[in-house]
Order: sequence, then structure tokens, then C-alpha cells
Amino acid sequence: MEIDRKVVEHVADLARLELEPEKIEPMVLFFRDIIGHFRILEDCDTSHVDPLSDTGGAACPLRADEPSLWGNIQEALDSAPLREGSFFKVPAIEGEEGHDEV
Amino acid sequence: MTRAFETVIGLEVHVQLATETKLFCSCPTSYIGKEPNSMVCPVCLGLPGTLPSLNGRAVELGITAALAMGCSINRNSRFHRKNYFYPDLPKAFQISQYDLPLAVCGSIPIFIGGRKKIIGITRLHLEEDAGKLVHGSSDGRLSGTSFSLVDYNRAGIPLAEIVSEPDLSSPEEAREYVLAIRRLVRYLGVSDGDMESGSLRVDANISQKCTDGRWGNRVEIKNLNSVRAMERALEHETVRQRDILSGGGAVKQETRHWDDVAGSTRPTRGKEEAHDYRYFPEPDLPAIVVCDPMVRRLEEGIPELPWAKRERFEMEWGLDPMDSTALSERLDVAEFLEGVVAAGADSGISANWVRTDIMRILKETGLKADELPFTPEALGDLLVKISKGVLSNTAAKDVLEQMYRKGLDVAAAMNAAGVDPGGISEGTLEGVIRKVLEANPVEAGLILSGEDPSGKKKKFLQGLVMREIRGQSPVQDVASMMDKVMGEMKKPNGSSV
Repeated sequence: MEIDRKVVEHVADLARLELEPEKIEPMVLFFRDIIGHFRILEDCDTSHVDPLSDTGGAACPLRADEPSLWGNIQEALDSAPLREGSFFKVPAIEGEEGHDEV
Repeated sequence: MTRAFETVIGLEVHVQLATETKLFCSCPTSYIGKEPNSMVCPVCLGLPGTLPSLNGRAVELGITAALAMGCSINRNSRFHRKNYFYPDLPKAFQISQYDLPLAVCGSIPIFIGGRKKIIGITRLHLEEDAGKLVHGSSDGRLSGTSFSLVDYNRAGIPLAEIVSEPDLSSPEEAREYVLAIRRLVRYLGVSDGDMESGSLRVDANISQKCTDGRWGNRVEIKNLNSVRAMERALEHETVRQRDILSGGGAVKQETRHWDDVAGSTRPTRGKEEAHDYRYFPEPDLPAIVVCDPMVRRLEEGIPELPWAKRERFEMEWGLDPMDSTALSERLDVAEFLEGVVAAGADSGISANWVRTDIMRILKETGLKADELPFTPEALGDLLVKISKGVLSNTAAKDVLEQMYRKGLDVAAAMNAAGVDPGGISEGTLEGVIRKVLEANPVEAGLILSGEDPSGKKKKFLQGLVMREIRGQSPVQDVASMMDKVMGEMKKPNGSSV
């Protein structure tokens, strides 16, 4: 895939970042550097190697279903930049209703 | 030329698993009605440096549901990160499953107008729920606010997503499918399946297949908050898509939002393409390894399934489909009924009593059948008494009332209801019949003079007798005793009315 302005703008959009126009071109070069580095790795023949997604090889431990309440909720709420009552407060999401990806 | 269309529907059903704790942390799941952000911790708040810890019970419940649908359980399955930015997702990714779900390739039967149809299940995977956003201020103001409020109590709640094959061909079938899934998860205790509280959520995919071989694009519909809303949305979308295709247009592949008030769908924001989610294996969770003994143990814990029970009730007991469906919907009710029949009661009478009286009591009290103050054997005893003619239906209902209100056994309840365990004596019955005949000379006279060909007057008088004796004799005994008394009256030396 060719890394160009469009790709950078798309990624910025996904990340909800506003990039000033003059910052896009340097970012294209930066992306190319990073992706280029990984392209070097593509030269390795991995056809005989199974994909590796974790190094431990152990099975995922299963936790017992026993509830406990965390004691520092207030601290977490206090450390939020904005709150209203016990809600966290974030800038309004414009033009979207009932986002329900899950 | 008018083209004919076939509707093709596939559903994604999310069920909240009935665990005590969240999927990756020990926060309680009983968040409904609780103070916002009162059931959160560093894990479900996505604070840096935290690690997920998988809830074994959620895995078991997912496997149980999958086994009941005949799925193959992947012995090695894996979590992936699904990345997107939205404030309801504190980590900016959802831990879900991607190419290696917990289970694949199952099916579930649905019944449409007595006809059975098998709906394929593509996969069942586990994932965490997102938090809840309140758009507007906490005082309920919606417009003019520049903030949204976030409650993470729901973040991390375990969900099983059940994806169907596109085997459903009408909104009605989609409804039956959702109801079948809901019955199943409730039956197995996997989820409470409550759509109102959001424990069961549905997204629908719908497209049209044209008889000339062309296909319309698939549209995903969201915001389906009830089975009725889903049906209406699918009906609306069927018409909308067919109109477009009939007019020579193309259906746009998109996600649409159901507006229940307007009764229509409208495009929602352009859904990020699958590759935009940048799925990658969750590095903090090794593979879920499911061993054979675990599958066997869970398999053994699965009771006879509702559709199998339903078929057996019809085959063995001759119940009609309405009764067999209603009585196999809940495991507690089905098992109670089986207990009643095992105690020797007639299956038809038992089914009738459980479907009406027991279901009414369960509805009134909110109890489960195994929490009733009397056992299925006790009800069985009572119903045997009806079959043997010891008790009438009416008297038995009085007795049941005492068993339920006062928690009495059958004998004590019969006493409390003033029902003579031996029924009333022939002498008493005869006395009552004579009294009723004397009190209703016109009707009695018509019967005696043969002017009651339809037998209506006779039935009326029998009813009065039954009321007088509070149903303590079977109606056939009352009828034969009445015939005997009236026969005597016809004789020249019999007492006249």
C-alpha cells in the first residue's frame, strides 16, 4: 500500500486527531520510514513458521467468578479532568446517536 | 415486469452472560439502578498498567450455550483487540474475538406455523460490553449541552455474541429466532435474556435476492430495542429495499438506525470498515484452552433442550403444539410438570393445570416452580384424586389454593378447604339434589315432562348442585344421582315436585 496524504488523513480521522495541513506531509514521510522498516522484515521467509501471538504458550488462566468492589473509585473520579456528579464528562459527540459498536 | 424478491436476514444477538463479575475484572455485574461509576476498577476503566483476568464462569456459560446449539467448541480460541475511539470504550479498544471464536457451526430450530426450520449458527464469541453514554446533562437536558456523560458500570460486562447464518427469510422468522435464542439462554441459565434492560440486544442484516439472480446489497440495522421493533424495522427495510431494486436502483451497503417513533430506518454514520478496527491478538491474554473434560462436564450439565422436550410432550402425551411450547419454555416449569406426571397424574390434566393454575401462581409470585410451597408430587396426588372421581375440578382448585397460600400438604389443604377427603356421601348428595329440584320447580317440571331435549335445563340444575356441594362430587356422580332422583319422581308413588 502506498503511503500518501490520504492514508495519513484517514488514520488521523480514525484516531480523532485534527492534523494541520502543513503537518501532513512530514507525517507522510514519517509513516513511510516506519512502514519501510517493517517492509525489511517482510523479506524474511516465514512460510515455515506458525504465527505467534504470545510467547508464554500457557493457557489463559481462568478466574473464579467472585465479586469484589474496588475501594478507590472516588480517587479515579477525582483524577478525571471533568466530571458531573459521579459521571465522567467528555466533550459532546456531535451528530451521532446511540453509538453501539458492541 | 414485476420482479419477485426473497428476503435474506441474518442476526447478531448479544446476550449478557449471567455471571457475578465482569469479563476481565472482579467488579460486580449488578449495575442496573446503581450509582454511575460505582462498579468500576482500574481494569474496566482502562487505566494504564492494568491486566485483564478472564472470568472462567463466562467461558463456561458461553460453551454451554454453544453446546446446546450443537456448535463445535474451538479447543484453542483467542481474544483480539478491536480498536475504535469512542468515550464509551475507556481503553480505546474492545476485547473481543475475531478469527478464533469460542465456538462455530451450530444450529437452532424455530417453529413457524407448526413447521420446523433449522437456522444455522455461524459462531458464538465472547466480548466485553462498552460503558453507557448519556448525551446531555445529568438533569436530563438533551439539547444545547456541549458535553456527554459516561458511566462505566457496564464496561466489561461479559457478552456472548451469537451470529446466525443468513437463513431467515422473513421478519416473522427473525422474531421466532430471537425468541428461540432468548428461551434457550433463559432455560440454560446462561442469561436473563431481558431485552428491556439490555441483556439481549439484536443487530439485523437484511438484503433482497431477486428471482433474476441479482442480489441487493446488505444493510445492517441497529437500535433494535425490542422484538417488535426488530420486526417493524425488518418489514420497513424489506419494502424500502424492494422499492429501490424495483425502480432499477441499487441498495447502498450501509448501517442504518431504526427510529421507532418515525417507524423508519435512516443511515447512521459510515461504519468503519472491518480493517479500520485494526484487529490484532490481545497480547495480555493467552489462548483460551478448552479441554475435553471441561466440555464433557458442561455437556453433562445441559438438561434436555426445550425443543426436544416439546417434541416429547407432543409424542408421548399428545399435547397440542401451543401447550407443549408453553410448557417447555422454562426448565423449572417443564420439570415440575414431569414431576406431576411421574406422580401418576394424567398427562393431559397435568399439562392443563400447570399451564393455567401453576403458571398463574408463578406469575403472581415471581417464584420459580421449584420454589413453590408444594411439590410436583403433591399436585400429582391431588390430580389423581380428580381422575379417580374423589374430587371435582372445582374442589381441587380450592385445595390447590390452600396448598399455595398456606403451604399445606394435600390432606391438610383439603381440610382447610372444607373438602371431605372421601367426597360427600350419597345421602348428602341426594338431599342436596332434592333441595335444588324443589327450589327450581319450573326447570324440574320441564325435564320431567320431556321438554328439555337439549339437556340445557338439566345442565343448569347440575351446576346449581355442584355449587351447593362446592364441587365435592364428580359431575358424573351428580348427573347419575339426579337421574335416579328424577326417575323416582316419575313413578306414580314418587314425591312430586
